Amino acid sequence: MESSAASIRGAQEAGAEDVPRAALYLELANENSAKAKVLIASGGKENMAAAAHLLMRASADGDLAIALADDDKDRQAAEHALAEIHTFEQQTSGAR
Amino acid sequence: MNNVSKMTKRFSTFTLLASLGFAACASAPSHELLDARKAYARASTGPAATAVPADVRKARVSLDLAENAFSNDTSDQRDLAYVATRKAQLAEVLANRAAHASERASAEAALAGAKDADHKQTKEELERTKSNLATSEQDAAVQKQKAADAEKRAADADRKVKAMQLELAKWAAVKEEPRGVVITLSGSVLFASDKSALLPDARTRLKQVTLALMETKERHLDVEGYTDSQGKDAYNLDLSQKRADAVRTFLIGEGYPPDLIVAHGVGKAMPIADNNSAEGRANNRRVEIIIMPASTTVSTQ
Repeated sequence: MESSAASIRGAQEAGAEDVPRAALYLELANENSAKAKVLIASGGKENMAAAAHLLMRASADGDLAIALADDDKDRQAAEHALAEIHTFEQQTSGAR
Repeated sequence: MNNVSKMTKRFSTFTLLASLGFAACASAPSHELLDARKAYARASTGPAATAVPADVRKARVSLDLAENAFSNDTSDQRDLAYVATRKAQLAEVLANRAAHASERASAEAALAGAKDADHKQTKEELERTKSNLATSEQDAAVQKQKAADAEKRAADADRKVKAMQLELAKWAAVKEEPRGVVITLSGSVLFASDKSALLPDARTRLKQVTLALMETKERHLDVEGYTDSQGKDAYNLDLSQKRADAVRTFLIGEGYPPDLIVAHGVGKAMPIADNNSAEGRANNRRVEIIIMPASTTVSTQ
């Protein structure tokens, strides 16, 4: 339960909601977590076991959402760095 | 062979055994397990295998758990396969992150290098410009000094000429004309009638003329001899040339540079007074020393 909550929170903090692919997995994590909460609230050994499996899924979804959100930032940073050098080269070739 | 490759081989063996086990297994693999196998195969043979081998290994372990659960037909087999798929996907995303980080580092290093090179080039250009500017300023200062020197020399020369004119004006006619400063000496003072040898008194006066001229001895002089209209033209021309030569020779003897003096006999041409009167003819018999303007050159004869 705690592991999946931490993953979901981490994904939200990483900005997964603003990255389409990351947002998809965050949504899956939230759905699995919500289903697990319903089963836990229902009580019973089988429900508790099924809830544990759903939380395991939610945690994996959340971890992937975090990685995808971070990857989007890395991609943008790389593109920015490439754009910077392109701009610099244009400026210097124009100035000389 | 690296760990990932070994694991890939193990996975292939495992897959084969698992396939053989289907005969004994009651149910077919779930779509979650099939997805997990595909995801792992993709991650373990793609860039992730070399970029993030530890994460590929975690995906392998996760898939093994799912395969065991399938073999044992446990209730969590689908969930474990689901998680195994995510682990394989995670490994691929992490490989992408590593690639992006590498791209970024390369671009930043290239930018830093380009900026360094640009800074160095700018610095060199600045140094060259400073050097050129300093040279130009030095040249300008030299030119300015030369101009000032030339101006001073011209002023000094003018001052000397004025002083000389004042001195000469005491006993000779001095006037400024477009051809230069003209000193007119009476022929009767310099020469006996019909002679071209200087009289003793003329030498004394010419010495004074020379002393005055020495103040401006960088100037070119033109000594011109004139006669009155009496007598034959050829004779007058010859006499005037000899008298001009006599004055030139005297000036040179007193120290005036010979290459700056020329002498011309003009004869009766260009009279300055009426030749019909004795006084007029006396005035026409004369020697003129023309001090040429500065920078004028004449050919010596």
